[in-house]
Amino acid sequence: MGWKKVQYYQNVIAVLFSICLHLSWADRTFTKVYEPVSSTAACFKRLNGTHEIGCTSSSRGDVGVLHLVEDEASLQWVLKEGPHSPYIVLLYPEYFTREHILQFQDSGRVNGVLMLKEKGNNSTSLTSFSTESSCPNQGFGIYNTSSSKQCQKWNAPGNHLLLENLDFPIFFIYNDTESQKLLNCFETFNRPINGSAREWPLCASQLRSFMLAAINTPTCLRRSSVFSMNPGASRVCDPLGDQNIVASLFPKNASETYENNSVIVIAARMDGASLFDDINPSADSSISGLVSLLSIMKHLGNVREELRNGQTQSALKNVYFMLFNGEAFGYIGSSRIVYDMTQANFPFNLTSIRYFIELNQVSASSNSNKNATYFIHQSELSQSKELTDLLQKTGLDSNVNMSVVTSKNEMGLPPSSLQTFLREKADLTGVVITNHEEEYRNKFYNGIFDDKEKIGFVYGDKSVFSVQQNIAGLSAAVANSVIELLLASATGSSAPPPQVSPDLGTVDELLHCYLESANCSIFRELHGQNQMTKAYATYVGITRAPNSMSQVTSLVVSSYLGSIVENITKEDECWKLQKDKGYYWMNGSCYDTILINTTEAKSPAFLVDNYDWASGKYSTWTESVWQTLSVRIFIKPSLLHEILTLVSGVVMLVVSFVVVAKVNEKAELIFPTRYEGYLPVPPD
Amino acid sequence: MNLSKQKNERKLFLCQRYFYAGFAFLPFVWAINAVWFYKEAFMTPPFAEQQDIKKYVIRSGLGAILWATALIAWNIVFQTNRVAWGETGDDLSFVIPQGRP
Repeated sequence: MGWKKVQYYQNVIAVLFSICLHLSWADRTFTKVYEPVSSTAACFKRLNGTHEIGCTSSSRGDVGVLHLVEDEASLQWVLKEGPHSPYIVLLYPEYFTREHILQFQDSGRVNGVLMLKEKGNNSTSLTSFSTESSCPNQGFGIYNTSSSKQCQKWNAPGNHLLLENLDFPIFFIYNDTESQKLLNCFETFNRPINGSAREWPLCASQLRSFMLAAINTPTCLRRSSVFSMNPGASRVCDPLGDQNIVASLFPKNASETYENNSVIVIAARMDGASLFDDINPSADSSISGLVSLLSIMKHLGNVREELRNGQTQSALKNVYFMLFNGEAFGYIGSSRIVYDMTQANFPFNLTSIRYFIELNQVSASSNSNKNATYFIHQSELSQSKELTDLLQKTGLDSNVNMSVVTSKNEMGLPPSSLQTFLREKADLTGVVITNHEEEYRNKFYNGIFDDKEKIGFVYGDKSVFSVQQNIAGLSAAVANSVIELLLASATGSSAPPPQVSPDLGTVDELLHCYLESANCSIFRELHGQNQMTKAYATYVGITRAPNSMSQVTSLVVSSYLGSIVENITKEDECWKLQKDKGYYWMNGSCYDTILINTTEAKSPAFLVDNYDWASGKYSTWTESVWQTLSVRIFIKPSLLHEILTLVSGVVMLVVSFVVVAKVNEKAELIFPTRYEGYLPVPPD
Repeated sequence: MNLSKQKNERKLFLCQRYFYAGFAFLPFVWAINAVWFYKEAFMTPPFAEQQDIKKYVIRSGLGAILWATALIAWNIVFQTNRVAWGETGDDLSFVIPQGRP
């Protein structure tokens, strides 16, 4: 019977053991301690030739007790009175002001900031929010330091925080449930009761956004290129940049050179900026101008054949469309194109440009029964009454007013890509079309809240004074002006010049694609199914990583200006000719995209040998590399409690060593000598 | 190797060998020599080769101390000035610190 009994016990032990295993099969310790907060966007570090800006945490993350700053009392609590510093400040956007952030910095009692979304869904309560400089791209334009116009307050609400070196991590929590998690933790553990602080344990948060780069661009580039066994491992920063899109209306022979004043350039910028990673809708800042330019492109593409036949005698030979990238950071894209032109690395040079028409911030909506008014800005040295008169005339046909900002304007030319061109050729005839006469109409310039609500975009809104109606009107007006310019000096043409009318549908759909969802019909047709349900980020990004926004935009341009190759109907045949002829398969057809080119949008500062980084001539912005961006919350006990836990752990360890040693010493006494071999079968 | 079991000539040979090896920029060899033969040089009852061993031990010890002083001095100078030296400081570094000057 003994043998069976042993087997029985063995089975019982095995079962008990497996139960124990199952019970202890739980998460790792840290998942029991920390609660991760997702849907966060981090403020990160950028560097230029002389400075570093943005945020960084320490390498292991910064920890502090959560505190909601919602009024003067809670602000003072964090800055002076609260006994549990350092704090991680929770706040709503209206409290995210320059003054407060600098106060947090100076107090030395704040280890990080978490900005929540607007309370509820009421995003209209915020009247302005721009972390850009009040004079964007200061120093990169035509006005040098001695000019009184070098810093005009175009972006009046701009608080310059984007360009400040902040010494603690900052995150934006863009999801309501995650915000609620943080607020609940604060309410349950931390909110002072009747003005007196709570006892430990308190709700604390750890923010990690450690940035590898430091000091400035030359330093971080130098450190990135030091020898390393693991190639690329030492990289600490990357130059900002991506690609510009340059497309022409008519084909150009390789041998053909443009005479002086024979090209019209229509330009806009693609990119925006913000303090936080991946959130930069730039609805007015850049999308409005981009969509307007695409609409003009589509208009002109549609009447290309008529124009081609009509303009053979004209002095104007071609129309070039330019979409610049990286303009928010010291005009990266346009400065590179101007540099390429001066290096004869471009189809034409600056003297070939007759007119330069730039579409800047052009969203305009009005509820009153009035046409929207756009403003035409010019530099003092490069005015053209012919062009502005024409724009005003064609504007009226498309129900938009065009108001010419007089050259006596105190403000000078607003920040624009045109400035880069004027810096190289001061008498270039150029206009910048905007929705503002003096300071920006857009109170959210280059910020996370420059979204569709701020420009009043409602998808499918066909009303007369909607934003899409106004942009469509403006685009048609500019397109008609260009048509007239092209055909003006043409003689002997019998057919009446073509006229385009506002294309509301295209503008509406494009705004929807760029502002609401990249999974829209236009983008889907061009590059197949798309899982992305939000809009693409407009931030230029780094030269090393592809930028979805500019890639899809070049497809849109290809579909508007490319021509369908009739005799190729199979996808693989089309791809075969991609290299030689620039064919591209999309939307079920083979497109000839020879007219559409992309050029590198990387600042000349990174190309010029021995560039003087402190000179400020070109953009020198780089972005730091980081490894982790994370926010998590946990319940933090008092310091005494933490020390006691550690000490008791150490004591336990020592005791267990002693016990094992003692047991080992007396092993002979405690355990009798083991019986060798199998258990005996008991005799009957 | 148990030194006490070696012959005296062998001891002298080893001590001398270590002393000369140290000249190849190997201060640690001098330090080891000084420690290893310390007992033989100063603690054991006198024997014929002891005078020579003593000489090598003292010289090795001094060499090691000189080296240590020089290295520590350089380290202090380097650590306190690395940031100020900028590019030179980075060039002299094997591991460049991340996220700070």
